[in-house]
Amino acid sequence: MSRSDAPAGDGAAPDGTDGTDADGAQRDPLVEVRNLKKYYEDDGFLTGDPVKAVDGVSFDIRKGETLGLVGESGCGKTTLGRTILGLESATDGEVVSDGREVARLSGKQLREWQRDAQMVFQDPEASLNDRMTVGEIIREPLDAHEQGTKAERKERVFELIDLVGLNEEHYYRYPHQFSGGQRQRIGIARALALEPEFMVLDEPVSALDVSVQARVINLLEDLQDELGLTYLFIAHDLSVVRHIADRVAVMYLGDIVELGDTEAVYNDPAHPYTVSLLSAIPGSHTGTDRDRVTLRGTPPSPRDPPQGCRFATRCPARVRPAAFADLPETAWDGIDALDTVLRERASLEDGLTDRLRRSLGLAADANDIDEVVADLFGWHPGEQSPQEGEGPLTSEARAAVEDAVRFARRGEDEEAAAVLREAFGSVCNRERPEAHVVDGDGRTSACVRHTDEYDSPAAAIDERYARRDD
Amino acid sequence: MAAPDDGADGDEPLLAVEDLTTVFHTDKETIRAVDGVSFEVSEGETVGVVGESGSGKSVTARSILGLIESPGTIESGSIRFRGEELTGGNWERHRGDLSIVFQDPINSMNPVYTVGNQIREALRIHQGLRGQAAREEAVRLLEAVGIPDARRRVGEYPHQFSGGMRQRAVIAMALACDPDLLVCDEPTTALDVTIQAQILELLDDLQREEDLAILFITHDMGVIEETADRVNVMYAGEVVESAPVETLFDGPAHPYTRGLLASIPGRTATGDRLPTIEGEVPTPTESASDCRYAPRCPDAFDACERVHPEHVRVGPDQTAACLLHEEVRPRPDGRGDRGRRRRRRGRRG
Repeated sequence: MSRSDAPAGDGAAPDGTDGTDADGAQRDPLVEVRNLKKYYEDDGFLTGDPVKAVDGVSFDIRKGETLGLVGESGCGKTTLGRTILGLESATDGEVVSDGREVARLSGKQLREWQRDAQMVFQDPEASLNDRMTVGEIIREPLDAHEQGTKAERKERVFELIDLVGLNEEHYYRYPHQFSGGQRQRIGIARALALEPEFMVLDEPVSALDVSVQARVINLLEDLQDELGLTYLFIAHDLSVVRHIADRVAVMYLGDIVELGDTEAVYNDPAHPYTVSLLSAIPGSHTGTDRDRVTLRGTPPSPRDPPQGCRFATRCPARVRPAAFADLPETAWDGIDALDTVLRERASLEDGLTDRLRRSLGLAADANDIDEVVADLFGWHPGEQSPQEGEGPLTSEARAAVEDAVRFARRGEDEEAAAVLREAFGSVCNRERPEAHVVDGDGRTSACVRHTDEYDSPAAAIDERYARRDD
Repeated sequence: MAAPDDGADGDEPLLAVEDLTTVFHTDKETIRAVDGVSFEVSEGETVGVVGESGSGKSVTARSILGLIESPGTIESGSIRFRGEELTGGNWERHRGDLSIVFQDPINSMNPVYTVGNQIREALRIHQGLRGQAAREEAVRLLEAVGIPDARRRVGEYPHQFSGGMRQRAVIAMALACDPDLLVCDEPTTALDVTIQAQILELLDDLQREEDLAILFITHDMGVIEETADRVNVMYAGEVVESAPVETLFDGPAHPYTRGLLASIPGRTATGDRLPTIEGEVPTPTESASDCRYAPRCPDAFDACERVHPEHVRVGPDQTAACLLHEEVRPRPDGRGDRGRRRRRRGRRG
C-alpha cells in the first residue's frame, strides 16, 4: 500500500511507504458520495418512522486508496457499502463514479458498474454455495457476464486460484472442505474474476482467527499493489483498520462523524465519539495515551435518532447550558441516566398487561420513576421536599427534574424526556453539527466544539474528568 | 505441566485442574479436544485461557462446569473445587458455586420468561429466596450489573434488551447463584468495543466487590491483557505457556505465543506486512508424541517431531512446553524445583 498522501518532510509518518506511485499528488476520486441516504420503510399499513440506516453522508473514495469505515454494529456501515455498490437503492443523494451516477444506471452501463465494483462478504460460511465446486463459484461471474470462451474462462479461474494463494487441485473441491481463511480466499477470487477496480470489503476478516486473519490481510494488500485496486474496508476491529487503511471514516448512527488520514485520526482523534471509540480498544498496544472514556448505554435506535447531534445522548463532551454550569459531574451523570431511562421507556412498546392496567385506570407502576430519581439523586420526589444542599442538584435543577417526573408519573415518557431536554439540553441537542476541517490534510469532524465559541472536544473531556477526580 | 501442590498443606486453591483430558468420540476417530491441561485459580484472581478456535479453550470451560455431554467425555484428570473432586458427577453439590457466562447472551436466556423471572428462578434454587425477597434481590442484582431503571426492566423480556444489556442480565443471572468462581467464555466477543469496555469494567468491579474468582476464556489478546492476572495459552488441546499477564506480553517464551502476538495488527508498525503463522491448527486425535506446533513452528528442530515437550520453568513464574527451553531447567544438583509458586498477586487498579 502506498501512502503518498502523507505529508512529506516532517518525517513523522511511521508507516512504510513503498513508493510505487509516490508522485505526491492527491489522488483523484474514484467514487464520490453526496448526501447519500438510505431509509428502510416498514411494509404494512401501520407504518412507523423509517429506519434511517444512512442519513446524509458525503465523502470521496480516492483511486488506489484503502478507505476504512468503522463504527459500532447498527451504525449503517454495511448499508452504506451496499448502497454505494447499488445493491440497495438509495433513498436520496447520489453516488458518482467516472461520470456515472450509480443509482440511475440501467442496462449495459449497470452491468459495467457491476463488473467494476465488487463486494467481499463477512461470512465465508454463508456467502459460498456449498453445492458448487470452487471452480464453478469463481467462474460464475465470468459466465454471467459472458466473458470469453469456455476454455478461456476456465483458464482465468486457474489464474485467480493461483492469485489468491490456493492450489489448482482446489478447483474441483467443495467449499465445506476448506477452512475459514481458505473460504475467504475463494470469496476474494470470485470478487476479482471480472477485474474490478473497486472493492467493498465488508468485515472480510472478522470471522477469522488472528493468525489466519493476518494472512488474508497480507493477501488483500498484495492484491491491491499488484492490481491497483481501490478498497472500501468496512470493519468493527479498529486495529485491523489502522493497519490496512490509508484514511478512515468513523460512522455513528447513520452519519460520518470524522474522516481523515488514518494515523492522524488514531493518534489524535478530533470527534468525541472517535475519542471514546479508540479509547475502548482493549490492551496496551493501542497507541492512545488517553484514559478510557467509557460511554454510557448503547446507541439510540436509528428509527428514532436524537435531534441535533446524533451522538449527543452519549457524548462525554456535550455542550451544557450556561445556567447549569455549576452542577457537579455526579448531577450530570444522574441527568444523563434519567434521560436514557425516559427515552428507553418512551421507545419500548408496552406489554399487554401494562396496556390493560392503564385501560382499567391502574397506572402501571406509576411511582417507580420516583425510585429511579431517588437512586440517581438521593431524593425521593414523591415523599418530601428536600433540604437545600441535599443531593447533587441545585434547587433550579431539581425543579426541572420535578417537572419531567410529573409527566413520567402519568406514563407520558416522551413528554417527560422533552421537558428534561428543554431544561438541560444545548446546541448539541438542537442543531445537527456540520463537518469542520480540523487539520492541514483536510480531515473533517462533525462537532460543534470545533468552532471558536467552545473548547475542543478533547479539552472538554479532560476538564470533566479532572473535575470528577477533584 | 508443572507439578501441582499435593494440597496437603491446606493451601488448596479455589480451583485446581490437573491433567484434564476431554475427548469426543466420533465414528471415525477420537478427538482429544482437551489433552492434559493443568492450571489453578485462586480466590479473587482472574485467570485467562487464550487460544484460537479449535484450541480446546471452551471445552476446558465446559469440562470444569460439568457440561460435557455425549459424545464427549472427561477421560482422565481431576478438577478439584476447594479441594473436592468434581469429576465423577459431584457437580450437583457445587452447582451454585461455579457459574458460567457464555458468548451469546440471547441463547443463554429463555425468550418466553421475563428477565426477572429467570433471575428469581436462580435465586430460588440457589439461595432459597422466594416472593418479595426474591423480587427485591432480582432488582438489586440488575442494578449491580448497571442496568438503569431496573425496577421496570425486571419485568421485561430478553428481546426487549439490547445486546450489552442482555449480557449484563446474563451476568446478573450468573451472580444470582452467589458463585465463588465465575467462568466467562468469550463474554464480550459478540459485543461492540464500547459495550465490551463497559462489560469488562463491570466484571472488574464485581470481582472487587464480591471477591469473585474469574476464569476468563477468550481469543482476544487485548481483552486478556486487560482482564487477567495470569494467562494460559492453549494450542491444539494443550496449554503451551503459562505466565503472569505482564510477563507473557513482555517476554513470550513459546514460539506459538510469540507468533500469535506478532500477527495481531497494531503490534506491528503499520504499513509493514503482518507476520503470519503458516498452516492450520491441527485437530489432535492421538495422544501427543511430538510437539503439535512443530509443523508450523519457525524454530522447530529434529527433536520437536519425536519428543513431546513438557512444561519447563523459563522464568520466576512462567512455564512453557517447548524444547527450546530445555536447557534452562533447574539443574539437578541445584536447589532444584522450589515447588510451585502460588503467590497471590495484588489486583490491579
